[in-house]
Amino acid sequence: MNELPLSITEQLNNILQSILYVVPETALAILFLLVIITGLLLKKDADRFCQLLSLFGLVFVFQRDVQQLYLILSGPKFLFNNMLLLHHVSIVFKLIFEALAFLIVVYVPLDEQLKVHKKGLSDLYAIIIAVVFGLHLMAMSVNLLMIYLSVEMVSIGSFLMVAYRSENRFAVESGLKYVLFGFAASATMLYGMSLLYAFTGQLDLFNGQFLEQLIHLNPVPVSLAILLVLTGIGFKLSFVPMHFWVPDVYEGAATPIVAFLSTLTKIVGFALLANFLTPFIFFSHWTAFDFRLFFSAVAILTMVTGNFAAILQNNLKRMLAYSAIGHTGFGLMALVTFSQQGVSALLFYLLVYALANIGALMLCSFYAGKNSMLTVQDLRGLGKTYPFAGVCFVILLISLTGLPVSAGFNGKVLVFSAVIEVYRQTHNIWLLALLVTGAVTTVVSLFYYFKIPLYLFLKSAENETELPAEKKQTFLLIIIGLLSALVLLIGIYPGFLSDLVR
Amino acid sequence: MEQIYTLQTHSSEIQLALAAVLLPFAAFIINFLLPKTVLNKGEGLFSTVCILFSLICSCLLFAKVWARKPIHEQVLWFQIGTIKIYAGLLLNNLSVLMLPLVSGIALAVHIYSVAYMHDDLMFRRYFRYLSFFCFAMMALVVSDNLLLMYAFWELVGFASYLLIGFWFTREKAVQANKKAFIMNRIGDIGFLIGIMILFAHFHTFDLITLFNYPTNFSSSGNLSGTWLIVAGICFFLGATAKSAQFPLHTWLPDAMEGPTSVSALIHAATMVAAGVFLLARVYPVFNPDVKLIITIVGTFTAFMAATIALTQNDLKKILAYSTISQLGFMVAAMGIGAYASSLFHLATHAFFKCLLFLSAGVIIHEMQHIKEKLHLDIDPQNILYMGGLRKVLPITFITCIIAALALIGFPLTSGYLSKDGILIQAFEWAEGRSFLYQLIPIFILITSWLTAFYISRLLFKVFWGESRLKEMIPTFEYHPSKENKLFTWPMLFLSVFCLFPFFSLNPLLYEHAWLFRGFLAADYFERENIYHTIIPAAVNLITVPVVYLAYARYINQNIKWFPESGFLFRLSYNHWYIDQFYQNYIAKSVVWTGRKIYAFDLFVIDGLVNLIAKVGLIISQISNWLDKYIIDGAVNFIAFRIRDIGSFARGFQTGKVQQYLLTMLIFILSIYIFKILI
Amino acid sequence: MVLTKNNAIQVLIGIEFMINAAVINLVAFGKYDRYHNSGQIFALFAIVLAAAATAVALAIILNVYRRFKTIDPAKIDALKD
Repeated sequence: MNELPLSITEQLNNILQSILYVVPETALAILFLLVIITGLLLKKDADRFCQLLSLFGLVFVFQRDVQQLYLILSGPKFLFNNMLLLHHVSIVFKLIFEALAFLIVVYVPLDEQLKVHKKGLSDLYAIIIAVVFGLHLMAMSVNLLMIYLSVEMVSIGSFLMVAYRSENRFAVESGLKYVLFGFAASATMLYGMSLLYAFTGQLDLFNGQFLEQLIHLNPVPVSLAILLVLTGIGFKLSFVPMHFWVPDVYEGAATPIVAFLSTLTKIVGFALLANFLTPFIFFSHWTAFDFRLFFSAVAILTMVTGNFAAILQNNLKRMLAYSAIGHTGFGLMALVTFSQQGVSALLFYLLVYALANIGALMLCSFYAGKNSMLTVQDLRGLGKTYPFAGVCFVILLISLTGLPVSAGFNGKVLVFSAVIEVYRQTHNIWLLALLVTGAVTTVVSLFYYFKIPLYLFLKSAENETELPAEKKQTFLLIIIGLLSALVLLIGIYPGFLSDLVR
Repeated sequence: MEQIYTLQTHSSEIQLALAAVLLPFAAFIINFLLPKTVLNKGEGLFSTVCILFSLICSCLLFAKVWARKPIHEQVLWFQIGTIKIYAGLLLNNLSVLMLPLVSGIALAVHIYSVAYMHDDLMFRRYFRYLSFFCFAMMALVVSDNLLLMYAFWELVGFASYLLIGFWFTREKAVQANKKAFIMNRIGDIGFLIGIMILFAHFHTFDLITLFNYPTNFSSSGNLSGTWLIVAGICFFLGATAKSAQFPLHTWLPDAMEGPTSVSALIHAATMVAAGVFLLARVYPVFNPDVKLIITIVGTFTAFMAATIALTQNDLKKILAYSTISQLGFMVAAMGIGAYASSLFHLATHAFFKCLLFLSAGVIIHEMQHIKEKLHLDIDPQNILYMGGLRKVLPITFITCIIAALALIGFPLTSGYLSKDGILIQAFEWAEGRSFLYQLIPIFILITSWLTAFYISRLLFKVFWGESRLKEMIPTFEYHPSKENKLFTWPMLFLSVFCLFPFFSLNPLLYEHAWLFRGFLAADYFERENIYHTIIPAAVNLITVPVVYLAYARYINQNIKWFPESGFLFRLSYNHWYIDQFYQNYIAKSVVWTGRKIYAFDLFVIDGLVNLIAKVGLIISQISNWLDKYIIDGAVNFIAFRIRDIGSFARGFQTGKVQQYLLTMLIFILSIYIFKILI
Repeated sequence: MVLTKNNAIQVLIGIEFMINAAVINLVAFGKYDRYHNSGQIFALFAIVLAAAATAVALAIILNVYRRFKTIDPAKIDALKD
């Protein structure tokens, strides 16, 4: 028998107490309103003001997040009647979101293709802030209702961002694909959730009742429900077989948006998955659905599909899209360890992947200019025209491949050692298969990543058509340079970052 | 809290080591930063001075550390969880030997390169890369933990990659460096997995910590048998790629597309030896099973590469295969437990092979010069166009002879000492084992004779006789050109190290070499075994006819082309007397037994010569075939499969969103059905 | 409907049906959850969110029609391998 419903006073007290712990989220909501209103009121300089406002706001939120680290020293904290769970990992995720969102807000007006959008960019900043708000909720939610709400929040924002360049055929097409695929996936997830609710009468994942009820049921329908929920999460993570939208959407959408989708929404997918899986993993009698088996198989498929399909790509953004799929698989490999060490490795890996990936996409913007379909062949000989950008590209690609000395290498080492550690304890054959696939696909990834420096430096331009002379992109280059330096720095001194994620 | 070594105890040694390693790096950075106008081709000089000081530091360090207690210093690098990762220097006999070896050879190559690359448009870049390589190689040598080693291991690979593709306008060079890169990656993955296995078991990358506990790697230790074998094989795979062992050796001959001076430094003397160095550093990991594999691979590589070298016509290719073969010797020696001999051979080989390559560079330079002057359409590296060069390049000729003798393992050279060490220990290793084990020393022995054959062939074709260009242009004459001092001095410097006195005062007993004694492990054999007298004698007694064999083949081919040549050649080399002896003997038998016996002798000897030559030819063709179809074929096969999987995954990407949804549905349903079934 | 219709709006309607199925589930099984009523609350949220998502989807479909002069998802396949 359930406990009696809480009285109104108790509920209100609970809510009032919880408000203390959602300062960053409240700040984000206010920031969203401010940015929208600024965009509406100002006509001439709306873009610039909105950008500055967003940047300051994000810094403020970042600082609030840091303060939260001290708030939960006594342990994880449930908020709003077990709707949200604030714990160390989720705060680290939030810090990562703020840092990356900051980068992307800086990056947005530097992209030539977004700049020409006739309606301005002020709305885009508002959408980004709103999505970051959704990301925050996603990283903390432990209730099916909250999960669905935050996923939808992020999805709707992402649909808008992808289709933002409404004058561009490709952007609109990718928007359509994204919205249909995403909507269908979330409907599937909702159905799975309704089944889970039907089985348990509970929406709260961390309530003891939830699992108690589930284990007494026939595992066949239960695993159907879980599978359906995982479909929705998989759409965010874009693992196989929910990856089909990725290449098309990445190719069509504006490059900064791709940077957003390939890093922030992917990372949050991992946060959500970790939250969703935690109760199942720690419930010792759980046998109905072997998550390790499922995710190992999925991770292997994902790594293979992503990395192998990338080899045949000539379009730079499509190639990066497939490689992003491959990285998802690698991240899943860290997740299936279901260990503290694995989660730390995952956080580290995701952050360095995100930095390198954003840098690489910035370089796509840099090289592409107004040319929306940048192929590898277009890079022919550009290494000599822009040597600094070329060197940065090589550094970032080294990191993405995971060669030493770079941040990516440390990330891969951490993940591998976490998996080996668990393998030694459990001798699960799937983990071994994961290790082997991880190693093989790392080699495979070399083939396509190093196509880029090959064209940049070793092939000379066929026709000497110079790009539009001296684009004013020094600022973009400076940011790229800083990112590359950061990647190298983390490669040499991974210590300060690994302290954070621990 | 573990004890952290303080920097006070051995500060002077550590400072010397750091200086030796960081000087080339400083040269790299400064060359990179200074604008073009400031130095005006002074980069070469600057890098050379830096490497000279580095050599001085290395030598001082060597004097301080050799045959004393190893020095190990480290600082905290970073921390993951409770595991602290240290970075530091490990100066033991092995690393302080490698330091002056690398910097000494690098100095010679630097000086040589100033002249060799002088007219190249990318002179600046060349010295940057070279300095960078020296830094990475020396850092690799002194690193105290596996993680650092791996990092520098990759960096030397990267420097080599840059230098193979140095002339990136040539399509072949681009192909070659791609091949080298991919081949090396295969090995690196092995190395990395090996590191991971050790780390997972012992939670440290530190070499001292790993190998100082004897229980770690004994059969009853905490690393179980299977893991130990896997780790050993993984490390060996890393060494296989770097040291160009079968089946990952194919990149090295192609790597000869780089400048010859680079081939001398990186692809003959130092970097390729890094694989052997790795084997030496992690030696305790290998258990007897893995050692057997190492032995077999090394021996097979040595033999195969030697047979291939027999029929090549490209000067640098012959030397490349010879390098592979010699590396095979070292690897095999590691496998049979001849740790000291292997490292001894590494050191001697570095000198004489570098010298051979530098000489080859001078020869190619000269041929290129002739080619451009006469507007000929010839390959300057093809030995079939050479001949008679001893008159034009006397110093190169002498140095080449010295290096070749060292390679053959002639008495009084350094190669004699080190190669005999390997051979004798190989026979001792096989003693008392089954027939199959006996094959190992026998093959090593045969290989050493083959070595004598191909290197003699090379010498005869290049230096003796008359220039074969005369056939194309009857009026052709060599114009005696003065050999550049920047070429000859480094070569003479290196040739000193190819002779015995530097390594051992006793020219015949390898056990007396100080270098050998520096690495003496417990498996030291006293000189009481019969092998110690039989083998050196046997090797050299048979080497002489082998060299003659080369000579005879050369004459046979020569007769077709230049019937009147050969006199000068016979007189200038003492093998001529043996030939004279045969001639006299045959002539006498004619007098004694008449025409039939004469004809019979002629038939037997020519037939024998031809038969051996033909067998060699067939074997080398088989090896070539293996190389081309099996190994390259396997690489192609893998590439095609990767392509296929990629296309398969792409096949779903039709651009139609409803098909995506349908595919997704089918996938999920199949997962679900699968789930129900199991 | 989601997979077969050649009109993006009908595909959207199909997805709405899927959501409605889930909503009915939630409401029906909410009967057994008398104290929290979370099923009913979830249903309300789901309806609102579906409406929001549909609005966005319709806006995008409108843009698609402007650029492509068709809203057949099968014909909009410029981005593919």
